[in-house]
Amino acid sequence: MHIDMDAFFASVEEVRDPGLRGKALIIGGDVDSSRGVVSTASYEARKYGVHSAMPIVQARKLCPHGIFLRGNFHLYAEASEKVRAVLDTVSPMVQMSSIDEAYVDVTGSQRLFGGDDAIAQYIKSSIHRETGLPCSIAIAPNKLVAKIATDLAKPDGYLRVAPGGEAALLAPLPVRKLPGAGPRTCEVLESLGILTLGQLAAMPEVMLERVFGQAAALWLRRASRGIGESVVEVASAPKSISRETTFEEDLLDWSRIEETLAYLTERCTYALREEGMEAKRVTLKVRYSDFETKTFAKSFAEATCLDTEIAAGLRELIPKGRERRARVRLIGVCLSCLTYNQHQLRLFDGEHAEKWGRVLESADGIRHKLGFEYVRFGKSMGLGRKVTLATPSLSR
Amino acid sequence: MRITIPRQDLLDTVNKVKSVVSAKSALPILTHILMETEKSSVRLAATDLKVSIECTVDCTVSRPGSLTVSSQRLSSILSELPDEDVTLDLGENNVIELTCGKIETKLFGMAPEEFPPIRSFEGIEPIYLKQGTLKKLFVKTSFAICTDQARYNLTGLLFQLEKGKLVVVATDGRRMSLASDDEGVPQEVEQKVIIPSKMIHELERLLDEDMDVAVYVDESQAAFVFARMRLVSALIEGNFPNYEMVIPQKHDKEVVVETAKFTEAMRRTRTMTNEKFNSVRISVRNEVMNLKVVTPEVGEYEEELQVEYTGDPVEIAFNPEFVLDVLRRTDVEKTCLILKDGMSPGVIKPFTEAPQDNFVNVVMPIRI
Repeated sequence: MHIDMDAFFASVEEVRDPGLRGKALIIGGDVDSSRGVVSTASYEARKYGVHSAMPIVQARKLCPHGIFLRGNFHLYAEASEKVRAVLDTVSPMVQMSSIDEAYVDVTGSQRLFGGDDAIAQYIKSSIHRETGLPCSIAIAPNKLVAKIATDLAKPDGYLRVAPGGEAALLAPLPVRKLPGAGPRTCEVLESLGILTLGQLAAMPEVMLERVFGQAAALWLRRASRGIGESVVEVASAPKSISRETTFEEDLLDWSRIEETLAYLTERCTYALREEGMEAKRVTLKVRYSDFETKTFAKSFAEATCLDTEIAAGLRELIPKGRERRARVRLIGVCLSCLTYNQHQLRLFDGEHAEKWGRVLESADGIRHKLGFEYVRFGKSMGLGRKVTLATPSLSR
Repeated sequence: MRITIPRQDLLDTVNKVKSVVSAKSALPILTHILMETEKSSVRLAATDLKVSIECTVDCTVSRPGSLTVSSQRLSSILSELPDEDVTLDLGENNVIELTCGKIETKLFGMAPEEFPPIRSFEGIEPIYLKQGTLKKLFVKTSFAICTDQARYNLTGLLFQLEKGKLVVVATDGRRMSLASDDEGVPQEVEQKVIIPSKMIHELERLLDEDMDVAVYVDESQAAFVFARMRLVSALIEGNFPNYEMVIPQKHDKEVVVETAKFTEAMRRTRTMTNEKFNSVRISVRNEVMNLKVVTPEVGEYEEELQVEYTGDPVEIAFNPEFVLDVLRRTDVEKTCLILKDGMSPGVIKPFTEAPQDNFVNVVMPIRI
């Protein structure tokens, strides 16, 4: 089963402020300046041709009367958590593929709920009760077809694809609807006169092989017939945790950049500890005003989850980032080489780390109760209590 | 210079010295071996500027002199040659002619004067110790030497002579291993230095029969001389932690377990751990030790062992590798685990009638 929240950010805003209902809502990173892109447009706004990933400037031209909002990302994250909680009551096999999208393996939940339709009905009503949000659901024999079908069911719909019905459902759709076929592949297919998935399915394999190579040809052929084998991947331990942001204007003043970096680092280490993990490597990411992007990494001798140690690692990297005397557009931190925090005690100088460990544990406890902003350290306090990033990143 | 020597003799000697040579070095001469003739022998030397090894082997010297040759090249040629005598003859421009039966090769050497001089310890009084004693102590403790260069003072082995006893200590900050012996150790000598791990590993490899080894120490370097070999190493400057403070004195829970059974069980627990999660929980109660591993995404393991223990129940978690590192080097039938609680260091010692103090291991637990 695949579930996709309808115009997720916009719908959350409508719940927050019912006055926005039915209006052309456009949520984007930085709606006041000329730099942001649209992250979500309500269905009303989509009528004017506004879609996600479009520059705000262009959206303004297409839909001048639209309501442009910067977005309340913590509300979206909260709503996403609630959706997940509902899905968790349906099946243990839940894969949140993004903030507003999930795959659920409902094979084992049939008897419990009384069939596909009952499951979909239960989820839709539960999510509506918990969050007030609409969603679209499709239940199909595999993930690939379910995702395509959800798209067809939108908005606020439900579609069931019975086993054996996959190929028939896909046949009339344009090749661009196939998730996993990139723009380049589609261009090639279209230039060959293959416009629909049905046509693609009918192509002899030899011909596809000649154009795309053996592996890709096999995949295209199978996918176009609705054959997919990937399984629902239950959330496993993250491989890395990163936070990055684009500045409202490109900055040359590293004291301000460092404040933001300190804040992003706090966000990272907090997330790291929430996962119960430690990182062995920290990477500083800098994008300069000419879009050149550089990363600088440092490995620690021992994995750590302490702000103090990770900040110390970053301090060694900052001079490297500063070597180029260019304005900075984006800054980011990434923690990788993650292992579970096992709390291996130390023979010497363990006290210092233990003490910090306890301090951070208490800080995280306060953050749980009152919110992240309530406990902050060192440089990041220079940003003031309420931090609004132009482009927040919600990656894990 | 011109010498003739059985191929196997030369190959063995090259292999003894070449392990310190780094394959790539900023200084090309450091990838070479120096050969210098003596009366009826040749001395081979290799160095990475920190550790140097010299080894002498008998040969026929028809023209005295010295040369340098790439260690990698020489050892690979020698290992492919038939087992006959080889002749090395230095011609002009440091070109070495190597002949073996009907095989003739030419190797390009470098000027021997370029080879860095190795410290001589003339005028320093040596300390005589037993090779076997040294080797035993090094093998027991060297696994715990810290590999993190950021903690430079821990990247070597503490080598301490005091009151007729030799004590060696290694630690990486999470566990510490101490071994001591008084066999053949002179009474009146006192010495305390940190020897780099590379030197210790070379000595572990080369120390052999139960003969004497002469140890020379000055402010910055140490030399070990034995069996026609001489190893010289820079010492690590810095303070080694006070190891006596690290060994807990007031632990009262002594658990005695059969070494072989404990080792087997720990090896089994290890099959259920992974890189990300490496911890085994040990709980002891009424003569039963329970070993338990719960690793996310992998599985679980549980086993019970019979032990000698009657005190209050105690529970602690360790990295199984740390325990196994010790057990592998324990050569008596029983092992003693001395504990206080789950947050205090555990001590592992060999046990014969009482816990033995000549091999003491302190292992920090993993917080449960």
